[in-house]
Amino acid sequence: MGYSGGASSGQEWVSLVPIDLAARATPVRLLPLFLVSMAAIGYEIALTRFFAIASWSEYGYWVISMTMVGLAASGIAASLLQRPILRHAGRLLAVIPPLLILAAALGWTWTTLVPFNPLELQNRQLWADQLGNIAQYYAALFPFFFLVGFYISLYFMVHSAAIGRVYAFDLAGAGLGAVFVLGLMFVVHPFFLIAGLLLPLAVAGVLASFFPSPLAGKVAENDISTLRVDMSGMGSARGADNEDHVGSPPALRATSPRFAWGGIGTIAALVAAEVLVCLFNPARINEYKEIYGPLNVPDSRVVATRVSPKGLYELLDNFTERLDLDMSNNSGVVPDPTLPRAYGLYADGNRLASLPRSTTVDTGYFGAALDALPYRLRRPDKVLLLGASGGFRIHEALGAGAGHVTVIEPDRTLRHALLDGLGPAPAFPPQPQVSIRDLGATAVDAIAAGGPFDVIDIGRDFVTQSDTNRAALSVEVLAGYIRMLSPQGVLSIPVSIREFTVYAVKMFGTVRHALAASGVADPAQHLVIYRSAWNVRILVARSPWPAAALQEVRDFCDARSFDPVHYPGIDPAGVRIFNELPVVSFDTVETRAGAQDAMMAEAAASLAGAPSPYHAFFRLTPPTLDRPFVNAVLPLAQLGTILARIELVPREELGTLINIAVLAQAVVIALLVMLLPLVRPSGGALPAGQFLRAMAYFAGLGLGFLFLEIYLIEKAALYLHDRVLAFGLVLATMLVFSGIGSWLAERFRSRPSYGVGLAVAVVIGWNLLLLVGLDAVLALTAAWPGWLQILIVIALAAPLSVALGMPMALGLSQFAGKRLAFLPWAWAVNGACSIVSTPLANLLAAAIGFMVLPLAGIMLYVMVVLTIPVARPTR
Amino acid sequence: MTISGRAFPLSRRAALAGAACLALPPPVHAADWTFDAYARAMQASGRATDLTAQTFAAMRQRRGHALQQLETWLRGELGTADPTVMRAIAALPREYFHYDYAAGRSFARDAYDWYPRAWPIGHGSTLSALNVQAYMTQLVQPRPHETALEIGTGSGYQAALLSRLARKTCTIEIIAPLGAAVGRIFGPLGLDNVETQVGDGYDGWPQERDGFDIIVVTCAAQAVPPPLLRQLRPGSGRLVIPVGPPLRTEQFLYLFTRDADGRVRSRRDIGVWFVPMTGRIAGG
Repeated sequence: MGYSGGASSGQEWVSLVPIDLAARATPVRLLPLFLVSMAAIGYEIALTRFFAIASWSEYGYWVISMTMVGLAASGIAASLLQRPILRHAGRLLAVIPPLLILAAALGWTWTTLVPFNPLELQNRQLWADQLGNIAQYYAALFPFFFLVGFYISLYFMVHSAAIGRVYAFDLAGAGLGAVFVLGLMFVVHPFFLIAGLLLPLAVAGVLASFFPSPLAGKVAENDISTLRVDMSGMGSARGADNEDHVGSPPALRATSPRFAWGGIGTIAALVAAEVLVCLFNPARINEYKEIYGPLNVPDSRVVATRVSPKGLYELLDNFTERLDLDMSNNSGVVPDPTLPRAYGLYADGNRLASLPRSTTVDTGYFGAALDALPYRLRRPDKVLLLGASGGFRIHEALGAGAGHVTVIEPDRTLRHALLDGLGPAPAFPPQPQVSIRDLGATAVDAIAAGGPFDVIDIGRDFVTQSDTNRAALSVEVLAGYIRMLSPQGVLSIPVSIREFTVYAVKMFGTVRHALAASGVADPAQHLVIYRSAWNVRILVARSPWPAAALQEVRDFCDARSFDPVHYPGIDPAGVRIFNELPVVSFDTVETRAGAQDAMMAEAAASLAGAPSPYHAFFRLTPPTLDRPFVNAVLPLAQLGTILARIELVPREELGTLINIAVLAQAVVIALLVMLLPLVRPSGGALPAGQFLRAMAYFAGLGLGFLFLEIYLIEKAALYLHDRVLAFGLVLATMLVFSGIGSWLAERFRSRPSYGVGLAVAVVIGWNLLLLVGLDAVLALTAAWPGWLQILIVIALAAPLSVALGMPMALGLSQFAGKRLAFLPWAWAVNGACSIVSTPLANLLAAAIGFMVLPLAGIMLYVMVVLTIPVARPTR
Repeated sequence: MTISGRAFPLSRRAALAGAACLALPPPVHAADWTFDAYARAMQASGRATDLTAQTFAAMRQRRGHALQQLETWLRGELGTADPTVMRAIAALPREYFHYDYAAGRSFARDAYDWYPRAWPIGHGSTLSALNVQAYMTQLVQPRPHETALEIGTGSGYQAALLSRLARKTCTIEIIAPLGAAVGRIFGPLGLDNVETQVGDGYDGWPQERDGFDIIVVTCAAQAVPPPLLRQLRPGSGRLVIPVGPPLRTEQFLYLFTRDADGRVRSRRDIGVWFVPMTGRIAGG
């Protein structure tokens, strides 16, 4: 049994490999590939930024899916059409860069014109139209990514004799492309990143015109005479330089192109494309985002703008901008409950914080706020604030009697606003009793060094600002905060119940586990839970609450029409409910009015370790540092019910559903790509065993590499408390160093099994070291300067990446010669499985934890070493 | 009769209110709402329409059925369809409010399609589904002698509906181009008890010294603006806030009431759209 895939000639399998191409794969000839890979990854990242701003960040996942369709199709095309492609290889390599420029610009413009509205996608009557819009996205972006994949496949085939070097340029280009686009984001508005990304493509086009491909050049010089067919197949013991080239493929009778026009065409394409994307760029922020209303009220002004990879920050000044705080609705609680005017800070169109308009703030309103209670229960000599809300929370804490305030503000823009001001918003006035620290919320040991604290107050907007901030609500971190409380200290945790009560219920259980982890035997004695109509506050005391404090809780709530949910000794029947709150699940509805508060029943059940009375439908597993998903409550086993209730699904949960959609599509495409050789009607063949081994090998590499990459990104995100920086840093490091590994792999070309074995041994060994010591290293260095932390991340990822880069190159090198058509196939299989692994890793992490990723990665690399598709010498 | 297990005192008071509602002035064109009347009103309100007499007639033919469907739906889901609310809905040509102000385009032909749905009207605003608006109106039970304030004019339909049921309706739109355009659409319908304003809803409508019996707020903040609560009439005031992303039919409604002593209570109304698919309804 044979599987087809290569060029054939009668009974003999022939190859189209030119004789001296290994030597001809010079850096200058590979530079266009480097630049195209650079632009392609930049384009992909720029698209995720576009979707994050124009829609919402969850939809960035879809870009991965769109990318994949084009790349997979190109791999299929290159595999099936190898002969005609190689016949015109020179011309194609010259013409693709200008086409890429045009495809990138037109695709971008079309994408920005699509009237996609994610909110309508969740509406049972409106979703159908949005499917058409999504199809438009695919259509708009398909040409660019198809051409990218085609170009890379072409390079692989043309330079198959030096595959390690070629792959190194591809990877290094992608890695530096990530750095390039992230750098651009510091100076260019996200909607105009495309303008910068066209430049590498143009340079690639010009270079291709000056340094035509060796294949094309050879054809131009001497028609086909220098191109010989490799009859030896892929002798595993023979290097490329030793290949026995005989025969000449009629397929390579190409006409000689003149390449001067290529440079002119590239420049013309660049000018046209730049005009299009710079002057006719219709990209805009979704009109349903929070910024849209305030931006369009009379006399609204954007008074400051900051562009950065983390977001497009805009500071607005208009009459709607006020401090946004949950206040008692009762009149007379404080003399003047009016919330102060402010500037509104938005990131990617989402409201981030209010910034004070002056250095002094009258905090007289704070006595009526839901957040004020902990400051009345404990003498707040030392206060730790997670999130400063632009400085308002520092003013409030000081106004409530705080002696010293430590502020943890991980967001760089917010921290700079506090320290230096932002536009007309003044900096927080320096005071000896206020320290503002650049630490992540999970850097417990580093934060504890400033303790113990009498009040630890987590800001409501702090936990909505980023997922790395939300990790503060994981069991281990909360336990760490509890441990850094003074003996009479109190930790205050916010939860929104405005739409769904389930997150509060999940947090009840999380806090119970955190208390247990910090050595508290009876959590119920250490908790006070109270709420307004829209928010819950959970107060955790280091010591059991004294009776006086509990009386203060009752008085505080009664005066403000807030509702106690739990305190030691609470009698539910005796509590007067001011804010009736029927709870809503996906399958049940609690509709009792005026009876016992459902939240009380939930708190009682949770603290007793009993099942949830009303939220049993949801997954209420407490978040941990290994599974830091404060949201993620949807039980995927109940997908049918979830989809039937799609209108109820909050935005926080949409990422999971989008992951599932992307995964389903990725799996289908990956299967199509993997099984492609089975349906090839003619051409070269691969023995069944080798075909299956190759499939497992390249699939394993695709899945394994991304599993390890996502694991490191996740760890780095919490460590650097900046997911975008972590993503760019880990991605660039891994790609560049994998490129080095790929280059080094050429040394093992004659001993591929040895090379792969060595690489996999390093991968497994390094992973085991990470599993044992990574958390300790990161915790130990959590308070180190940012630049040192960046170097540490590079040092942790680089050796692993060098090893990760070798097996792919060594595997691909097995598909030169008569199996050349399998080369783009193998590349496509690897790419398709990489795309599968992204949503799969996220879903696995949400279900089990991130720890599963390096373990799965180790197993996949064991599979890789067992399935290396080493070609046997042809007899 | 109950809605979601909660007593809904509709019968006698609603019947009296319904009778009184008949005394309210009808819209100018309600009696003979023809294509010409529609076209004149659209022109007078400064909006374009591509509706022809034929498409207008076809659309109006669906109206009776749609209203019947709405009434059946309200009865089925709520136990009753408040006759005063139904009369007010019947008195308003909904197609007149089907307009996209960003695109400058009418989508009147879709006005009476069943199933009711939310419609984008541009500038990040939506025309809510008819059943949601009917439900919310039943929830706040406007009476003819009462005054209503709406924060967030949007399409103007809710303000127009309240104007058919209450003595006076004030409405504020924060988005300048939307507020300016929608402010012109009430006059041509003869809805002269609607007052409009473009501005900040935070401060409410302080010119109304006696406060409001009904306040409807589209609110994204963490708290109801204190000035609004101060303008809610003690003892009888009802303030309702729909919460949830736009364009979803399944929004929550928060109903705030102000006691005579100034204490404010709230109730989350889960609406009829939260009937369980499976499982149980607890309590009751």
